[in-house]
Amino acid sequence: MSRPIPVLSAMAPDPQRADDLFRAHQQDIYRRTDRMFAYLMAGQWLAGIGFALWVSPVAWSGPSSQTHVHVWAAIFLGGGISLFPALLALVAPGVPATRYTIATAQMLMSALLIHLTGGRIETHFHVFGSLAFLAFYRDWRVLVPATIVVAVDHMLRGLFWPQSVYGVLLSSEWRWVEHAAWVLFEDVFLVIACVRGTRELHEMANRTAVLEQAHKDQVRHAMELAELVARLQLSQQQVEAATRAKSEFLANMSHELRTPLNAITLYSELLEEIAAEEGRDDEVQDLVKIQASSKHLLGLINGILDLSKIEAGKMELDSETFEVAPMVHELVGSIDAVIRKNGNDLDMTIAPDAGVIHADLTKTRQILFNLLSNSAKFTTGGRISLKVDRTTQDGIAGVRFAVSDTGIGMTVDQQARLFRPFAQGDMTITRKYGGTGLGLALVWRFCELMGGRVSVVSAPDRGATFTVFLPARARARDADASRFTPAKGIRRPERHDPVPAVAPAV
Amino acid sequence: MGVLWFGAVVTGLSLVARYDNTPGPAADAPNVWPAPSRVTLDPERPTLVMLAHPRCACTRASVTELAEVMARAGHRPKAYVVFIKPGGVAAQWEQTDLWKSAAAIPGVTVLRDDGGDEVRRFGASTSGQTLVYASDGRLLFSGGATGARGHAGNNHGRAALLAILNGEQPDRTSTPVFGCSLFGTHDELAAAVTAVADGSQPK
Repeated sequence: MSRPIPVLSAMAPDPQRADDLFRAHQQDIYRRTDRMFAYLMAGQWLAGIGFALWVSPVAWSGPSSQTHVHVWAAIFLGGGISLFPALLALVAPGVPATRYTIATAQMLMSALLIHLTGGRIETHFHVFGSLAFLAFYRDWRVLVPATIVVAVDHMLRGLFWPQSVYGVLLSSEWRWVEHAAWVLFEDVFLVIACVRGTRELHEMANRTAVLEQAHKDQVRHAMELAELVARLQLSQQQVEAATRAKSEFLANMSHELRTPLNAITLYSELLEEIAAEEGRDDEVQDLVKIQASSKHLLGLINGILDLSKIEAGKMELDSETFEVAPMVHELVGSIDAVIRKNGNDLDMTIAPDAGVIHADLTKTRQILFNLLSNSAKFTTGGRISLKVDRTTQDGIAGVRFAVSDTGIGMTVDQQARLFRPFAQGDMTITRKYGGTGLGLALVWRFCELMGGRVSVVSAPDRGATFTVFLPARARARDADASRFTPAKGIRRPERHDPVPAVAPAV
Repeated sequence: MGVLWFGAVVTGLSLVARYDNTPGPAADAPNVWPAPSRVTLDPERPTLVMLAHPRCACTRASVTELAEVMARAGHRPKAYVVFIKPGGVAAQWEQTDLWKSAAAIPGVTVLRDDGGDEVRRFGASTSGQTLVYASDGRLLFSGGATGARGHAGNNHGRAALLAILNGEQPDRTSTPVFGCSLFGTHDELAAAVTAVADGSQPK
């Protein structure tokens, strides 16, 4: 698996990569500065020629004149000084010999320009400007030949023509040292600047190496993540395919099982009638048991069939507009015997404004049937109430069905698996009350299919209240949303009902 | 190759330096004020005469030094700058920036020397030749006011001139002169000098 992405500030650069980056950047600086000096050399050459032509174009000898020596010096000597290092800068940029030659040539050009301007003190600033320009290399070593050239030039001129550089008649033979010292004074700061510049290059290279490494790590992480996502998508597709295959298999099997079960039920009823007519009471009791078992099995298969359809995305709503109150009355009439079986009483309150809704009538009835039969199963000698009223939830108008009982109630743990199919909350309860865990699971899914929701409030020995909200105009939801993976925003049930009995189809 | 290049460049710079520091032919100035001269000797104070070529680039430094001397001299001399105008040149040939610069120096009188007669009388052959005569006509100084071709700045010539004009004893009374040739070829110069010596008109 992928490693965690390290913090940049804590990362150590790869020394080899950092060194490569440093040298590449340094070489780039050398090359760029070489090119700049190549242009400067050419410019200085032309400027020297122009200056010589302006100040001393010709030398006179009586009425006749000839080109001044300074002009020839500017052309040929200036060209000799400038063109060789400029050529080196073009053909061998970045090479140490090139920049050392350039440094030497720049100082020789200073000497020539000073000469051409008649030793003007202002032209001496060319020396100091050139030294600063040489510092662009960020290589303090180029200052060495430049400084030596300046010092030796001053020393020789001081020995032979002192006033050409010092402007005085008599001077100490060591005065060139003073001049060289001022050059060294500037050199000190330039060397410091070069060293700091080099240090910054190192730091920059280190940071770049760290960033490169971090970028590589991120790319690798991204690729690993993409691979993981691809694998997850493949797994999800496989799971979905397997789920569809399972659901289709269950749907087919349920259908195949229901046909013979219907036959068994019908034939057992027929045999029961015959046995009853012929007075064979012992056979009648057996046949009644066969019928009960068949109906129970048929209800179970119907539940599995509905769940399978939902899981397979084949469950469709058959929506219609119907009045709520007649539907509830009819349903209560058909389930009254079930409720009274355990000695329970039923209270029913239907608000006058219950009105009509547009929904799947069969599934609405099955929701209420499952909830009422579920309450009847877990309540003995108690009271079951059904309240129906009109309300609005989250800005959606609809009808609320609240089924309450005074039964055994539920613990928090039991509620956690309340609406899961086949989830038996407690084996003791399962053995005592029976059931397969499909009833409330179907309630949850039918509510979801019609855009509604179901919730429960319960406590042990204090009964339970299930509340179902159905929008006035049911809208079909994606089948995937109806699976027991509650989507974000859908209120989850808070309490768990013991395993409900499977509600038979109404 | 770099060594060859360096050697060639240093040699070139040395040649240029040598050229700039090589003086022209020394003047053969008369020890007493030449009587035929049109330039007037001042009987009250020293008289300074600079013989110059109006188009010599190097002489600009000499004029600059003359201005320095005139400004710093304790006893300002009577000063002349005599610009030679060779025969056969165009009119106004001598009217150059150098002429105007010299004329702008306080206390300096600028003269035109057609054909170079005055130059010959004072025995000069190099532009920038400067002569100082005492009020009684004795030659006090003969030399240049610069230390090299076209190089202004402190030099032996300026120091000697200032010493003389300030009434001090100069270190030297003659210095080399750096500038253009006033006459052209050496043969022409020799002929002119000879003619002046014989008292005849030069050719």
